[in-house]
Amino acid sequence: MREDWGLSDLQLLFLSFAVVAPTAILTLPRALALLAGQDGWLAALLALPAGLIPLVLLWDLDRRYPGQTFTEQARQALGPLLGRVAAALAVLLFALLAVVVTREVTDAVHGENLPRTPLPVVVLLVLLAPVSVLRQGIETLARWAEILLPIGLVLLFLLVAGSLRDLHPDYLLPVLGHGWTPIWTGAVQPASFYAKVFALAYVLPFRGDGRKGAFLAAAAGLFAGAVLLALTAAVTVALFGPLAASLPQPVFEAARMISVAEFLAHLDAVAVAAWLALGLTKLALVAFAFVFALADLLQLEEYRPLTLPGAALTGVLAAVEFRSTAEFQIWVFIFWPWVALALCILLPFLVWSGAVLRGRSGRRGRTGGTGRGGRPGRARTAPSPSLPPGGRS
Amino acid sequence: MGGEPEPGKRWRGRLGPLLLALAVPFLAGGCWDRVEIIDRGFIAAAAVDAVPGGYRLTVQLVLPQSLPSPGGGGAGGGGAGGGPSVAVLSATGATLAEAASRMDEQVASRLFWGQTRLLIVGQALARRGIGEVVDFLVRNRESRLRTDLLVARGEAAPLMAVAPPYRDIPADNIYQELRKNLAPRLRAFEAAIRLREAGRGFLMPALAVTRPGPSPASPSTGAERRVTLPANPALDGAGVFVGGKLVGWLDGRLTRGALWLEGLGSGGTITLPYRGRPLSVLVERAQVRRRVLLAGERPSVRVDIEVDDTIQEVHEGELDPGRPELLRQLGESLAREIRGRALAALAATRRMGADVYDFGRLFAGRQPAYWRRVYTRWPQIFRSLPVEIRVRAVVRSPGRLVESLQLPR
Amino acid sequence: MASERFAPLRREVTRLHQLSDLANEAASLELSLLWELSRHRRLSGHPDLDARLIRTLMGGRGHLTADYAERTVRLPGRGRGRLIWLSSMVETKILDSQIFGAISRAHVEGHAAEAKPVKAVDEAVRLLGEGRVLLLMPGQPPALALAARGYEHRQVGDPQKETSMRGSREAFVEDLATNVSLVRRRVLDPRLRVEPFVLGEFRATEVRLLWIQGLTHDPLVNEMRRRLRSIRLPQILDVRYIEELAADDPYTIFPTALFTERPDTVAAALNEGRLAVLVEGSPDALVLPVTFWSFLQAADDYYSSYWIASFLRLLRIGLALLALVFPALYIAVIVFHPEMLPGILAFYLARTRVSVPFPAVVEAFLMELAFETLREAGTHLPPKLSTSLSVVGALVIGQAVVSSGLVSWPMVVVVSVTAIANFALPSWEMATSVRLLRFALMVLAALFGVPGVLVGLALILGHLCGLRSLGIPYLAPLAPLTPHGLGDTLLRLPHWVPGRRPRLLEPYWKVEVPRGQRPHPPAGAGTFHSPR
Repeated sequence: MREDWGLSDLQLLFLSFAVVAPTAILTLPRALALLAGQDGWLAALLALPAGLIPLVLLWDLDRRYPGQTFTEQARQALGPLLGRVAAALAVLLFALLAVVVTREVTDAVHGENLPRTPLPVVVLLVLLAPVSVLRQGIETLARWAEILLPIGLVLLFLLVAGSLRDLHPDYLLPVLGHGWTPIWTGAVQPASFYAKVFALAYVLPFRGDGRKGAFLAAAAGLFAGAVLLALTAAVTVALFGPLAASLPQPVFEAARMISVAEFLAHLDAVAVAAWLALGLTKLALVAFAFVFALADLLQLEEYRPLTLPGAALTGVLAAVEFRSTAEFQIWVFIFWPWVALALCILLPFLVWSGAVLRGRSGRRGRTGGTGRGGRPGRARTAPSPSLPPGGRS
Repeated sequence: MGGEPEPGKRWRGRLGPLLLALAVPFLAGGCWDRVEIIDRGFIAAAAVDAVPGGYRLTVQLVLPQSLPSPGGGGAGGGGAGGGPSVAVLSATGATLAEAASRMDEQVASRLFWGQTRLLIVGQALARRGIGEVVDFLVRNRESRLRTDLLVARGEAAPLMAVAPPYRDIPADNIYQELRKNLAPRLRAFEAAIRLREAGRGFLMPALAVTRPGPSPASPSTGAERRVTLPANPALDGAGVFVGGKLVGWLDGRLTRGALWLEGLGSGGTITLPYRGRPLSVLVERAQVRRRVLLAGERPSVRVDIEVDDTIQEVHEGELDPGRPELLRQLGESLAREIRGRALAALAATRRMGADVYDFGRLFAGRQPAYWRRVYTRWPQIFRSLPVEIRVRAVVRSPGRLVESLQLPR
Repeated sequence: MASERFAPLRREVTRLHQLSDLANEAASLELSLLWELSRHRRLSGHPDLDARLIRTLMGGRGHLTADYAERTVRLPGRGRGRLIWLSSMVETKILDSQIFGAISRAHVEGHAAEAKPVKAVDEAVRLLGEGRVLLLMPGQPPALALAARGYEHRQVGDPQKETSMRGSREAFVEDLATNVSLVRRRVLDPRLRVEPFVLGEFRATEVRLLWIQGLTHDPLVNEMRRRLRSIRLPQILDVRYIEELAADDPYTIFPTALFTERPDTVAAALNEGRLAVLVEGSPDALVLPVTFWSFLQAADDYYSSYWIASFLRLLRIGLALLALVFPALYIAVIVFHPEMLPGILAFYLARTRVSVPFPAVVEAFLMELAFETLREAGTHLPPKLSTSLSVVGALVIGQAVVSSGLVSWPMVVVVSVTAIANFALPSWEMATSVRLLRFALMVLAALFGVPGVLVGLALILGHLCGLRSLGIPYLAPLAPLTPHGLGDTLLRLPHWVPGRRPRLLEPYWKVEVPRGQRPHPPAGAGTFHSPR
């Protein structure tokens, strides 16, 4: 039996899918409908390169510095000082991302189901499961994602199936009725979400199999996410036509509208369930990137001690940073996409260009990792699924 | 478990916050959003009328305790077998929400819109515009997007008070009538979509109270005992809306005609003359294909209707399966009948300038460039839009009886 | 007066009593000292000396256990020996006919079926306690432990807890030797290893670790050995003691090893490369490593059509979920989301609750607790009384409570359906975990509605994902996903399908089902009738 299994390609696919998929339910369909009208689904597909750029950069970085995390790569490519700055920026990015995702998940639950419950309590509720999983390590997280994501997807497809008879494909016409301009403007939003696969920079080194498979899996997950997003964008427009742009969370409204054989109706609790299944996974993943990047930056042996403080910080920020959902929505729509897009592409690009300038071919072995199959320092990895060496006596 | 702290620490680390998280809301008197089901005032149906300075909201509030007991036995059940299980409440306010909150003060329970199936708009309000009503429904987190909207011929409030004894919840009666697909249905979200597009027309089922009066004397019980049939709110045609405002009415026959153009005609019975006597057919299936054509700047629409049907009732005449041309003739006359109805409806809506058939939508999708040029003038264009209607009706089956019982003289 | 006269006597008696208490104490103290000393002491090889030591250890000086028996025998050619046994544990017939006979013929070592040389004092005493007859002899070896066990134990009978329609009708009993034979008869593999362990401090218990060499992953065996050796409990009465001390996560609420009373289940597990632990005195075997799915598999699955077995698998998964969430979902829906119900149902649910004085959560908790009480009372009652319990509990109280309107009948339905779903789970251990977690989910549902239930489920799922049994991920073929291992989890594929086990055990799987076994009618004719 192998000592440490690492993450299988399938798990990586799911994790990369988790970066994009949850938002496909929440705000993105509206943004697409608003900016690109009935061609939102096209914009969702066209934005795909934005996610592939960081992936390709990470792939090349991994070729040059096999098995190292982004922080280690940055330090080696840009030198200790600049590298640390880049890594710190990454930490900041993921911290913000964690706050935003927390707030997104919370807002959906809060607004849809628990409007009178104080926001901090909902934040706590939302953070509970991801934190508990995070403390069990990346492998547990991956397994969790492997089960939760399909559940969320199944629920989502049930919702879509339930609203099939209300679909008016006519609303999707005309294709390209307003030319390409609105599509490009609309593509910025999904692009910023795809670019966040950069968070996988801290997950990919845990892969159990080859580099090629891992990155292909990540790309496939991204693609699946884009397809899902295109699908929900198309479905919401086909359902609501010109109204789609006015509904804050069209998928939730679709659920509110469902009536299956006059028996099950108003299924927004199911929509929230689907959203939670997907959203919690994304939250756990992003929080992992944040905490792990921070631990890596501080050169700690273990990321776990940072989990609770990190979660507490995230929770507090998510609860107090934005006074209202409306304010948060504006911020998320106007400001955040550009920041995220820029950072997620610029950071790996900077490190990559540093590496290119240093002319590292990637053939020579590095001493940064442990050198065992390009795995990052063992102490930081997840508890191996093999025999616990001395868990208890 | 390589770097785990010792077990005791792990225990506390994992469960402590969890327990605390669970305990705190409990101790702090949590369950903020908890509303026991008996504390909910289920609104089964609502009616909205325009009054000076605002709205009057009238609702049928379900009284669970007076619903008949399902098992027959059991305590309580004051209304078992008796009158309706609803209370009719009314309140006014400058906005609908204000009226609703005033009404909330009248009752012990918290009004709940999650089970509201019908919302009836009074005629006066409908003429003023239904935008606010739809806004209230769609914006409200609780309410269903599938709530059916109806327009009253006259004031809406009295319709809430009419309670035919067929169902425990009077509003259910109307709802079941709507479900039979013989009327145009307009759900809240559909109204919202149509309101969003400027100048778009739509139909809304209309409601009026029928008062059949006393029944004829029952022969078995003698002449003295008379049963009074109850007053019953019944569907009565449809209201025609343009831009969210009521602009006219269609009677039942024209409404059905309009439905043909939308492909919603199945399920109904059509009676047509056959050799001088009435003959009824049941429409089993109707399929409608609509095509928009643009020749230069001249738009036109072609509607192909395909109907499958079964004969329901023949009064006199010969229906010989050996003579298929009879059935074909019947199909042709049925096609003529349907076409006539559709044309009549089209003419009526044309007069009102109400494109309730979404022809404009078709142009927007298929001829976007043309549509962008003309959409502001669409109502005028619609008034003179050439519509070609082709109907192909096939009598699939003569029913379970081949020939008429009374053979022709 | 009389009391005056007897006073000195009474004082004397008291003093003697005190003295005897003191003597008792001294004796106990001496005994524990002796035990400590004898821990690793070897027998001297002088029968008289050794017999005296053993007698002392068995209570000696006035506290000798009543069933202690000792005879001096003459061993032809070796001088005088001592024969020691506990009469309660030994079959006199065997003793008379075989042992004394063998001794007189001087063929002790050759003739007694089980003559085990003994060297250490504590071992001798332990074997004595197990029902062996000790023969102390001069010289080497200083003692032989002879088998003459003859105590009463339950006969092998039908499985009581894991019944099945088809398949073997034998269940383990409390006797270790019998249990090992039950397994051995089903695993006719020369590679079956039965490794003995003696665990526990004074009340030493025989434990057997079973595995098939070459089939079971060696690190698993080593790890289990390590865990067994590290157990230091004063007593081990059941396999549960071992399970609790050898679990991967000591705080988990889920079972990390399978308890079974069926030898065929154990045999199947061994053939899958798992380990089994048998404990003297316990009618259950412990099987590990296991995955979550092991607890949804019933023996009948393999003895009945794979169609129905697969259907039942899916049903059980559904029922496990139902038993876990149904009350919680009911609370969540009627308290937080009544809009999800069909209209008329919502109104009628409200109607049934008009007279209920409690919030739905409290009502649900009361009903659940009432049900748990009934069940607990039922398990402690002799079977004859259980009918009256069900009459009083279910019929009288239940009917009264519902008709008085204290509890609504939908809640009764919910609780009953949940209970029945819970009973449908094949594993008692899994069913109890589900029972407990249900309450936690009910609390979450009462606080946060459906999102609360979902977060609860996500937490449970997270725990399950991180949980391991002897190092194997608990949800193994599903997460981490290894598709070809799924043949015996969600469904039960036919026996002829060349299914493979989860990747985690793969390199060691040697008895794979060969390909090409799917039965098919004979080629050509398709009929057995001869043409003529």
